[in-house]
Amino acid sequence: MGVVNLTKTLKGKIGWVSISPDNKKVLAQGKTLKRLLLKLKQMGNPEGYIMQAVKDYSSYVG
Amino acid sequence: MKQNFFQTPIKVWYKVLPGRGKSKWPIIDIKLSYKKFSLPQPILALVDSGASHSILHPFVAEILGFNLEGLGFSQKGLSASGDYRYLELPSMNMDINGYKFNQSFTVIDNKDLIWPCILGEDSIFHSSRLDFYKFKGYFEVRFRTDIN
Repeated sequence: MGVVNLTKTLKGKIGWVSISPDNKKVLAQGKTLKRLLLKLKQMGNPEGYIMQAVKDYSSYVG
Repeated sequence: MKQNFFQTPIKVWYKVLPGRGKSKWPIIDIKLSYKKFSLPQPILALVDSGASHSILHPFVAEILGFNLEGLGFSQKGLSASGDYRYLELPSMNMDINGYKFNQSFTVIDNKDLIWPCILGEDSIFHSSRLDFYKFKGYFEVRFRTDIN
């Protein structure tokens, strides 16, 4: 394992996404979290994690 | 001086996200639940030592059963980028790698927040030792044995 690069996985994706445990695949996506959860439910709630996909995270200042 | 003892460190790899300079972000999977509500998968939380409060995205708060309109964003705060309106939620259950905590969150009236959750200094910074090794690409979380 090492630094996890999600740039390829998230390419072209916008909105709420569920990522596979191996970080390589977007399992489902939705414009809102509610929509994403609905899709995941229809898929039988597979394992993964949820995040937001945006074009550019680097503009965030925290 | 009281000595603290810690669990075995949990190594968390930074994640590279789209944007300029291939920035590496210290983010961690967390599971949240409140009463009968929970999310089917963990959400990614930014571990932010510069944040005084822990923030939850309004959409996540709604899924956990909070009626944000009913609660109302009645309080006003100030950040580096200006004023904001917020509300504070009662504490909920948070699970990180099997370690369970009660954690309260602030919800900012901003649906464009890019993080589902931000863990600020009022969160695991109290219950664990955090060592950031950005140059090596990971950070370590060591939960305190006296309270975890």
